[in-house]
Amino acid sequence: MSPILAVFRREFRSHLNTVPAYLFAAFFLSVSAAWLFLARGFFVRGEASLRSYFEVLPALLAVLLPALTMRSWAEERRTGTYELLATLPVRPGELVAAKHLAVLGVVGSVLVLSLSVPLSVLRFGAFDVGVLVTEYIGTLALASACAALGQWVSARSRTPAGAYLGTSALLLALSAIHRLPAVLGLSGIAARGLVWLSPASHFESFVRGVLDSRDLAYFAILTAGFLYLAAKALVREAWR
Amino acid sequence: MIEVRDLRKSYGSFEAVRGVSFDAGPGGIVGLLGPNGAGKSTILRILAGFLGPGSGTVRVAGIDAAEDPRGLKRNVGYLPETAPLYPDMTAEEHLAFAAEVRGIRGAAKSRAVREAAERAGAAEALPIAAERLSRGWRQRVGLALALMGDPPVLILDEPTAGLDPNQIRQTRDLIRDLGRDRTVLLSTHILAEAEALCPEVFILNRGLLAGRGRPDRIGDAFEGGDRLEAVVKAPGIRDLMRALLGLKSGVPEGDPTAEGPGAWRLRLSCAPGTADAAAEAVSDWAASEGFKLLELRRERVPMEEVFARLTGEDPA
Repeated sequence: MSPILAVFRREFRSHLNTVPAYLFAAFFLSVSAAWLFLARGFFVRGEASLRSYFEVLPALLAVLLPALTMRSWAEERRTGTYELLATLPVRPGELVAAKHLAVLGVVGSVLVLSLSVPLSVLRFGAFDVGVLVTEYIGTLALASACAALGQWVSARSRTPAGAYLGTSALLLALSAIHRLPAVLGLSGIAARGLVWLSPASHFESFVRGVLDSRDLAYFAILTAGFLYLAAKALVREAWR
Repeated sequence: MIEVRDLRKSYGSFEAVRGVSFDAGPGGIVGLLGPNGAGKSTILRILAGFLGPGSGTVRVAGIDAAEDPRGLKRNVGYLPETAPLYPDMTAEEHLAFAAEVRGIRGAAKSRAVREAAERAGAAEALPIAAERLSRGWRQRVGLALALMGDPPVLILDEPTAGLDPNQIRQTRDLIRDLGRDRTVLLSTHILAEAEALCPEVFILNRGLLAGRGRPDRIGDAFEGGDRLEAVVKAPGIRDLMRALLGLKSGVPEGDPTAEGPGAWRLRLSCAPGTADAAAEAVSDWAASEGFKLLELRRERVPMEEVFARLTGEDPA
């Protein structure tokens, strides 16, 4: 068994033994469903589309996902178990990758549970399954980038609460950055740059059912970049 | 097995370790002594791969800590001072996790878990969640974790801190046993522990190596490093005082004290490294003066006094 798999199993089990994972699942499932059926009036609009269900996910993940990532390193440091983990023969990059996969495991499990929403409305209209699959791929890609950012913030935070607030603030800012050009009256390269930077604008393509490799690459680069920064933060902490 | 050369480590502007060098050969127990803040834990954390050396060289089993931190960790079992454990995991799950990370799997994993737990005296704790373990049991589980994978070097940071007297005795027996087939480097500020366990000690003070050697000989370098105590039978105190003027080696510390009818106790201090010769001279002197030598005992400078002198602390 590779060290990554061993650490992933421990981390995933740890998520299942702690409250934040259940809070994440409960709020994610209930708020997203309430948004679709109550706030957006799914049945009133009479559209065979779950676009409004997925449109709220960037903001929802920005608030909920940090609850999963905040403990990654800040909690290990607080309880002293980081000393145990960091003196095992595992590279920092492997530890970071394993923790990331564990968070994705929890998110993936919750997304499987969330399938109950589309499955419950399928009989009310002719839904495009391809679009639905694309929307779920996009959600996982978005969650991966958010989780990587969360782990980086946790690696640089002293406390889990600090990690939560820092991650949430950054994710909310990133989610809203594509609206800045309209608010500030910007145009041209600056406006396009801000729109390109925002995860929400890339997620939008998935929500429309468009599986664009550039959007996938964007989320992959964001994920790899923040995981790299998290590993670097751990190494820097040991060598500073 | 352990090679440290001109090791330095700073936390911001505070220099915790200021150019420390020492070696520890294969097999045996080496003690790292020093008051709080002397740099003991920092050095142990560097040797365990938790911290990187600021400058200087650290090698364990021939592996450079800066070049191959992962290789170094494979050769080191480390017990931090607080034996940190995940509260929701049992001792067995901790050991199985450590085994998996070290690449031990299948039947070998079960065997390694059982052997490490038994060797550390933690077998009874295997099914218990860490949050329910007492300090003593946590320490044993931590020791079992350090033993996982049978590393040739064990680094133990204050291994008996917070244990009750029985647990301390058991832990010391275990460390003695472990030191037979691997190198054990332990830190402690309990001097009796260092004397009881370590054939060699290094004394640290404010990030510097202040002394090194066998615990019973480390005070030899001091002025008046050894003392002799002799009980002689002399006709009277005046004869004894007169005869003392002819004693060639050893300087009397104060006046003789009466020890019984016609018997007097003398305390003599010796120049560094001359205790054996001084003992011989006292024996010859007593014979030449016609005194009976009832007792001659060599008394080393107590470890507490050595520690206090080297670290600049008041022994009281």
